[in-house]
Amino acid sequence: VKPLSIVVTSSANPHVKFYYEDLSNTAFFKLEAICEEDPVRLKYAEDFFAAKGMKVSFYTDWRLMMEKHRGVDAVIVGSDNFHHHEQVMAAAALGKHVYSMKVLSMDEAQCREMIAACRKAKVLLQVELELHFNAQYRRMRERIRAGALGKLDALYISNISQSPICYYPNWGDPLLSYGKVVPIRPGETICRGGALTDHPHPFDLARWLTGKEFKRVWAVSGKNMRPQLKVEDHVAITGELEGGTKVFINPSYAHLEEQANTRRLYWPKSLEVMVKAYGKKGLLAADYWHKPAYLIADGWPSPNRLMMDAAPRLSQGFLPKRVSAVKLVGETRFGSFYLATQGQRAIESSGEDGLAAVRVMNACYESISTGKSVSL
Amino acid sequence: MSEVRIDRRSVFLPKSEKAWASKKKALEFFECDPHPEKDLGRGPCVLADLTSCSAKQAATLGKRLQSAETILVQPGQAAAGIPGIPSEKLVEFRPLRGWAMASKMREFRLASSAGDLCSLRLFWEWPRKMAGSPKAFRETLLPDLLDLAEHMAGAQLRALKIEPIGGGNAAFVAALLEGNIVVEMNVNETLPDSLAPVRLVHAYFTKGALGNMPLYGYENDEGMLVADDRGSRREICEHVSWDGKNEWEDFYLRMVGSILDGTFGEARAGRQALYLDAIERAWKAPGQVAVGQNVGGRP
Repeated sequence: VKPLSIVVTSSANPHVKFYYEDLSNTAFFKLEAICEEDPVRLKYAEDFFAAKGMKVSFYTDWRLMMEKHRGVDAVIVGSDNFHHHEQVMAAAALGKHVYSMKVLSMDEAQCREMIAACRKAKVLLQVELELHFNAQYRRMRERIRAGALGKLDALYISNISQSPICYYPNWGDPLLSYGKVVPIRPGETICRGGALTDHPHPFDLARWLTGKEFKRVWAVSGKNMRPQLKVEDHVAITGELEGGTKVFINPSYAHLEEQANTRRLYWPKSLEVMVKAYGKKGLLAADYWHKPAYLIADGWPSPNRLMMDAAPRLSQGFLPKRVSAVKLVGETRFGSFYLATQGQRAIESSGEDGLAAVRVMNACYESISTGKSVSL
Repeated sequence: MSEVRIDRRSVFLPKSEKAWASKKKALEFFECDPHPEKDLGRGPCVLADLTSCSAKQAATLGKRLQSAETILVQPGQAAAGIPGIPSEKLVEFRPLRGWAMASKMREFRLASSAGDLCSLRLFWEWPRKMAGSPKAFRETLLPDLLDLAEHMAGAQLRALKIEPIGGGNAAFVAALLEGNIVVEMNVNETLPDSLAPVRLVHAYFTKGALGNMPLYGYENDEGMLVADDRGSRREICEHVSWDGKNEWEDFYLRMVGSILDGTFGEARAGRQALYLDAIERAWKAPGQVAVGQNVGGRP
């Protein structure tokens, strides 16, 4: 295995910590450097890799880091959405493959520029739309596309989580998430950049499962559950795909979190990603949490509270610690990226996929603002 | 201890009522006696159930209905009213308000147990074989569900978006109630006939939640639900190239995988004999049996 040398621009996006795990136990990547402007996140990264016995360089200026590590093969863009554009453009200009956290940007013009820059530089651009690697959804996709359900009448997709603002305060900043401060409706104090921006998966899944594009959407956002939140925490969306498939999407922060400054879970569970596909010939329904485990313990997140966590699955989207089957690498978010850089497969969730989801999400914001259906 | 007695009360139930027997059963539970038209107006009557009556039939009952404390009518008739009867006596027939979750929800909300209500999700998913007519779907079920939402939320409808599905009794509904409470409904009576009906609610408040929704999956079942009219099953798909249709095959797959990646745990060769011996003795013994320590490996 020829490892892919890589640097990380930031861990402002909390998913980056998942990749720390991947980067610490794989022969596919060689982590050279991490940039982190936030002192708390920087210390976490330093301690994490020190504990693993890994030698990693740390920076507080991502430009300096990229200058010092011009020889690397790839860049993980893990910053807040607001900074994705400048970092992706810089990486592409240096000829580096890019693995960007979602969303690429809520500014569609910026998305197009990033896609074009990577294409021009002949480097890959993968957007973290990680639900592509959930085995249940992949099987669902095979069946839908093979016509096993007959005509697909409807899709119901929820993507419900906690709001991460208690433990990741940057996550509630509309400028950092949406890229600019836009009231959710004219004259309101709540702004775009909350649950809808944070949950591109349903829009991506609807396209990915069916191969169809959205034709129109109608969306409504209600009263926030969290008075302190500056961005929306609940949206309900109806819409239609090409071919007449009706869609309902719930991207929300409807699951409450504990008021603690480190990430904790909360009973009954932190996440729901339920996909139901209704066809003329049958129904498929799958939840991301299809293997639940109920826990209560003082050494687990949310000490001494009953909570639901996921029991281990054979394929959870992360790189296995020891590779017992190549199949297990190719079906992980990071493993698939590695194989794509080696020319062994296509990018699983591309910049174009990311842009397509963002277009629908922006149409939803427009619908919330105007109260009208928006055609795409 | 003295016997508790309640005077039996009278309820008017028209003779033409098709559900006479079942309604009589429920009324008698509450120690009420249903009486037909001939007895109407002869004495006090706690309830008059006119839900099977047309507007014309109700009107012909006229002043005799005045003896009824409460008059139960179809929703359409409540708006039209009954000549000579004060409108405050009229109560709409909304059976879904009788759902225990609706009662719990109101109780929860009225007690301010979890702050303000922000959103409601309602799932009404039934197999095709249990579906009503398209007219009943649009004119009875959907209005009943909107009433249920208002009843649960204690707030009135302000905006409504319906997305009809597939030409059958199915629709996605998004609604906004006063106070910016969002209501989502997934109303579908076209599910495969192999599935049981589900009726679920989840309410999200500023400081809590209430619901009867499964915590995961369709009915708290592991894996993906695969259903058509002939049957339903679940597939615990572990990997895209593994079908997950046979749990013993899954166990073997994962066992081999854990052996290969070194997480299978320690070897315990020799423990089987200890197990068999202990089982044989315990099977016959009236109490517990002692089992040897460190025989053939660490337990």
